Amino acid sequence: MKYKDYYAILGVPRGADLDEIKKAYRKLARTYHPDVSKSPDAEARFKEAAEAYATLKDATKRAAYDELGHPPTGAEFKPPPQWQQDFAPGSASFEDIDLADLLAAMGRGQAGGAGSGRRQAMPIKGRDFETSVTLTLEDARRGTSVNLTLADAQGERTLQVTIPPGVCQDQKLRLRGKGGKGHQGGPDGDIYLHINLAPHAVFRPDHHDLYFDLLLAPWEAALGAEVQVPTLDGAVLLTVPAGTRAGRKLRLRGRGLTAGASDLYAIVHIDVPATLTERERVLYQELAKVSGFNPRVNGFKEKAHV
Amino acid sequence: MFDEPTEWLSLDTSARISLTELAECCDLTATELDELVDYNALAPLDGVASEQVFSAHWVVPLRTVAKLRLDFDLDLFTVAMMLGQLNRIAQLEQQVQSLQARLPLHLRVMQHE
Repeated sequence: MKYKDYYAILGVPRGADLDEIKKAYRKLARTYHPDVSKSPDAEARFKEAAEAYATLKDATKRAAYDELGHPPTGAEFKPPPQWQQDFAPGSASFEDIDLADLLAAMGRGQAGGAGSGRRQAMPIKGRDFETSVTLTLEDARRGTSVNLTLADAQGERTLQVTIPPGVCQDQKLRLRGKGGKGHQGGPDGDIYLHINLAPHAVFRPDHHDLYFDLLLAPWEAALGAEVQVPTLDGAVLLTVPAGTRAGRKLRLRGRGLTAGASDLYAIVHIDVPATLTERERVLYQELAKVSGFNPRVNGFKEKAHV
Repeated sequence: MFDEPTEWLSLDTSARISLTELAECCDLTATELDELVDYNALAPLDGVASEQVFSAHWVVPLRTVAKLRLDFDLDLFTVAMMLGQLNRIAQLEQQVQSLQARLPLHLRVMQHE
């Protein structure tokens, strides 16, 4: 068994009190937490500090650890004979057991120290897996099957699961009992799945609704029109009412991510031709002469009454 | 490869979860969850069930704070404060996503930019 110097890992003297140990650990945890640090060895450093802290913050574990003396880091050492009786009774040897596992077992009732008598194994829940999947909007609306690869110390396995229709961005799903196997009578772990939706060239999701930009010619907006618009199930005809303004949302009921229960919205944008033919120019000029519409005046007034 | 019937529980306000199951999911004890309720960080659903029932949307933030608690050895009051802030961040992210979806094309800032 290899010795690890937990005091050196936390950077505290061997006589450090609990406050010093906690402060040193938190400082390291803040520096190397995988959610914070981008350093390639951050996870290993964080785990190392957490392992050291788990032992040194617990008076019983710390006393047991201190009994080992102070061999150099990495040096092979033989734990006191009593430990084998306490931690691994009945096994021929516990050479392969890691020091951290041995000390951690103390807290789970698998080891109770000298004189603890018959030990009772505590049920341990199997490992939970957290994973994510990225779906197209089409698959999110219709539902789909995905393969989840789950890897742990026992190996790797692939689980094919069905994603129900109508999921949305950032939705979280829990699949009970499909995670790691439980130990000593504990329940199997769960799978937590985070849904991501891949960006779509046309549609933008908001919860279960979808939005897209509908470009209209000025005359379509003014006169009304029937225009073909895309949906996740294919193109449909949308009636644009006469007098439709830019920014108006036109609803296609039931065409969102949850079929029948969420909607697709077309957000109107009015575009104008960048260049005009001579005939178009004449018609626009005539319109300008005859129309009393002034968007800086009429538009504000009309909007104020909406 | 396993191909099994998939019975997902959607972890949102549409689903409910008992105190015992919530504790099991989040690696917190029922007593600790009660304390979070006392701090107004967590709210059970109204009802007359013998055991408290919660909206399933609490599962994910509670798992997050429980992990941070373990990683940084935080006390339960700090966990309660953090839970409130996490919920606030989630709500703001949702608002940003809604606004992004509704913004006109030329005003939209794509998330990857």
